[in-house]
Amino acid sequence: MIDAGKVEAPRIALVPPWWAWPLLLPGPLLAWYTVIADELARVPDAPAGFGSPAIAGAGVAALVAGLVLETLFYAMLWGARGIRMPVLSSALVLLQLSMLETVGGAIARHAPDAGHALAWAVLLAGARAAWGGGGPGGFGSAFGSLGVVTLVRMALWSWAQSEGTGRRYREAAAQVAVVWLASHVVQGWLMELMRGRSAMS
Amino acid sequence: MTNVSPPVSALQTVLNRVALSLAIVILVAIGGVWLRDRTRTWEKPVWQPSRFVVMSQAESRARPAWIIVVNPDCLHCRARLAELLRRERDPARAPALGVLLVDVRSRPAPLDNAERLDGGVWWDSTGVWRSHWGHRVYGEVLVFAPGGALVRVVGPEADPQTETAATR
Repeated sequence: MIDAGKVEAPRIALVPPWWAWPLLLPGPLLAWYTVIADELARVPDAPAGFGSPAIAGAGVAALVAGLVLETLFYAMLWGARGIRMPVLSSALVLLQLSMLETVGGAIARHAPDAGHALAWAVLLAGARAAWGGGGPGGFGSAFGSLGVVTLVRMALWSWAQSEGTGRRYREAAAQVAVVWLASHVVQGWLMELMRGRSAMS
Repeated sequence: MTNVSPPVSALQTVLNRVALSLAIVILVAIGGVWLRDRTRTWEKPVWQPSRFVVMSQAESRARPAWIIVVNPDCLHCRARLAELLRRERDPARAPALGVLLVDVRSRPAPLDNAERLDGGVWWDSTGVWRSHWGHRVYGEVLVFAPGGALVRVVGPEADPQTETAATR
């Protein structure tokens, strides 16, 4: 049993002091803005305004909302077991860790067609590095990002949660692994069900 | 040093458990819909023009036909159609090139380049492509034999000229 009278406030070692937050926020936001604007610019025969800064900005906002939702989901998971996870600081950590996704995406986009460099790209960024165009169906696309970069993100996210909740690392890591697996299975289901429902697919 | 987080209140724990249960129910429901979709038996596509609304008549049914599945809002569909129309074709020997407009609720506007589509332009007003054939991929090319039998389906990234394997 935890004696609430003797516990210390949770702390995430990665969280900087409050005054550093304005310095840390622009990096990931600008990185994502660049990635999204680049993706929008690649859409063939896009209507006028499709690649506008406003659309890219909306994409960044949606992405940040997704990260906040992910943080809240984990807070709910811990909360269901009576354990508190600090939401705001965890969300900031997750935003920083999301930079790894831009790194993985850049590796996949710039992967060569063959050779050792492609093998390294697949190892780092997942099977998507070898696809070129579209992925092989719903599950292929959902799990195509599984590589070292994704594993590092999961490991660091587990560490942050462990630090934030004061629970063991392996406990947090097991939870992160199960959630990642379940969320990507659902992603595969949805991609297969929704394929062709969007003008983009 | 390992910190121990303060416990959440009993009410919060209950609320979190309710939310978690809801998430699990949603997950199982999506899985159920996916399983039902995957185990459903679909009709094998056969080219029967009478099932579709003719927007532009085909010149002949004596040749094989490449029917491109197009949604008017789909950017890559239009790009693919334009690319296939740009190719040099022998009208006497090359497969007829047609368009099947799908997922359009009201009668679509005529295509700009309909006169060059010797396989005709057809509007799938009743959703045969999606609801009966179970197809979903915009921009795919359905290759039909002169009698209307499906020869193969070519994905939107593949070249119907060289692609030989069915993609569904």
